[in-house]
Parts: sequence; structure tokens; C-alpha cells
Amino acid sequence: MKGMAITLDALVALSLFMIVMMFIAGQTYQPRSPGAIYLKQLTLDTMTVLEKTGRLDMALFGNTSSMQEVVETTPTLACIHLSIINSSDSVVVSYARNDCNDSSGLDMQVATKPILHQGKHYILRAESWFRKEPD
Amino acid sequence: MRGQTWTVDFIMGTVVLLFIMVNFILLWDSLALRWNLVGRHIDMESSAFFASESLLATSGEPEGWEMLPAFDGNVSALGLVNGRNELNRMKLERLIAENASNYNAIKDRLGLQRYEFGMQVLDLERNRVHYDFGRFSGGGLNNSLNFDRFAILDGNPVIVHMEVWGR
Repeated sequence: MKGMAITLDALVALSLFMIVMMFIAGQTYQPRSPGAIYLKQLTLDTMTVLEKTGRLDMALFGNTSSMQEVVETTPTLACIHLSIINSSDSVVVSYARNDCNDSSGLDMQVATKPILHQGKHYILRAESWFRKEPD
Repeated sequence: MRGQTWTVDFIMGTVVLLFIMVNFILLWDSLALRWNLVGRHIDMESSAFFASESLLATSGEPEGWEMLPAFDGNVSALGLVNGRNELNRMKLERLIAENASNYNAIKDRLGLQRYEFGMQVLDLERNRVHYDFGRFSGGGLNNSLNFDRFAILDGNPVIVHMEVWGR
């Protein structure tokens, strides 16, 4: 009877050990490339290109299509939402890349940049995140 | 009889111990291999992003490196822009001209000694390749990092596509 208890004890311990081993071995690391540095670079690139090619000015004049053209060209793994905010803290232009509405629970990066348009000060705000992978 | 029980018990104990040890060694080996791959990938990622930043956010060192008669030790860093993201055609053309003879030296200046490097400047629709530099893997590699950045060429937005990969 005592021997059986010991055997049972050993079997339980061994089963637990095997479960733990299988759990550890099953942990796969999927390097998400490019990483956070890249997302920041891409966001800054987008903001700089929009500003230096005059597309932010056009957006403030009401023509957002040229801004959209650049935002829609960002790599598919990244999402970006741009807002231009005036000195009264109101959003005057806002555009998010298509199919990028769900950012809940994801790591987001925020960058801001002051811009001057026809003597008025605005803030360009960019929120970016990696697109949610399908389950 | 009692002695025989002890022997069976000893053998069983040894078998179980060996089983655990073998499993542990195999798991450790597999984890070490995985961590090593992850470490190498992170190194490549960092090198690639710093190289792209050097190209698209700096003019290089010296700033007028594209005017030098020879691409030698006088060039300590490479950059392709006048201001951030504003590509300079002369710098791009010099880089392309050095592709055949100084590909490895260019990689060294970008901190990519251990990897291969390819770069293309494309229009936003990706229909036209303005510039093509370096070597691309052709796809199908695990240790390859492909990424795009934005820049400006003659006042127009362009895509700078880069690939850093290991053999």
C-alpha cells in the first residue's frame, strides 16, 4: 500500500514536470520586425514629409487627399492617425489610415510637432501603432 | 526477495531520473538556440534602423563626402540628405557609383559589416525605381529584414525600401 502511494506520488510529480516542460517548450518567440524604433522613425518620416512637401498646408486649406496619399502608403503592418490641432485645442484635420480603427490594447506611440500656417500656430499630432494581428 | 525489490526500485528511480535529465537537457538546448536567434535578430534590427537613420537624417561626415575624389578613410559616415528626409541626388548618384567597387566599405560606414544591404528609392505607387543600391536577398530568408521609410526627392514624397539580411 505504501509502495503504491509512493508510485502514485512519483507519477503525479512526473506528470506535473512534463506539463511544465511542454509549456516552456511551447513558448515561441515571434520577433516582431520592425520594432518600436522603426515605428518612431516611420512616424517622424511621415510628419516631416507631409510638412516639407506642403501637404499639411493643403490639408489646412481643406484638401486632404495628398495627405491621405502618403498615409495610405505607409507599410501595412503600421497604422497611423494624424490630427492637426489649432490654438483653441480643436482638431481641424484628422485622418487615420484605412482599416486601422482598432488600437485598443496595443502599444501606441505619440509624436507632436508645431507647425505654422498663414501666421497661425497648429500642432501636428501623430499616433501610431502596429496593426493588430488576426487571431 | 527484499533485495530484489530494492534493485527494481533503484532501476526505476534511475530510469525516471535519466528521463528527467534528458528532457531538461533537450529543453535547455532548444531554449539556448532560440535565445541566440532572437539575440541575433535584435542585433540586426538595431543595426538596420541605425543605418537607415544615418542615411535619411544626416548628410554624412564630411558633409560633402560625395564631392571627394575617392571613397576612402576620409569618409567616416554616410548620409544621403540635406535636411532630414530631403534626399540629395548627388549623394545618391555617388553612392550608386561606388556600389561595384566599394560596397563593403559603404556597409562598414553604415555599421552593417556583418550583413548584406540593399536599398531602393521608389515612387509612392512603387511603379518606378529611381535608385537601386546594394544587394537584395531575393526573398525566402528567415534572417532578412525588409522595411520602408519615407523621404523627399525633388519635392515629392518617395519610399526608401531597404533590406538588411545575413547569409
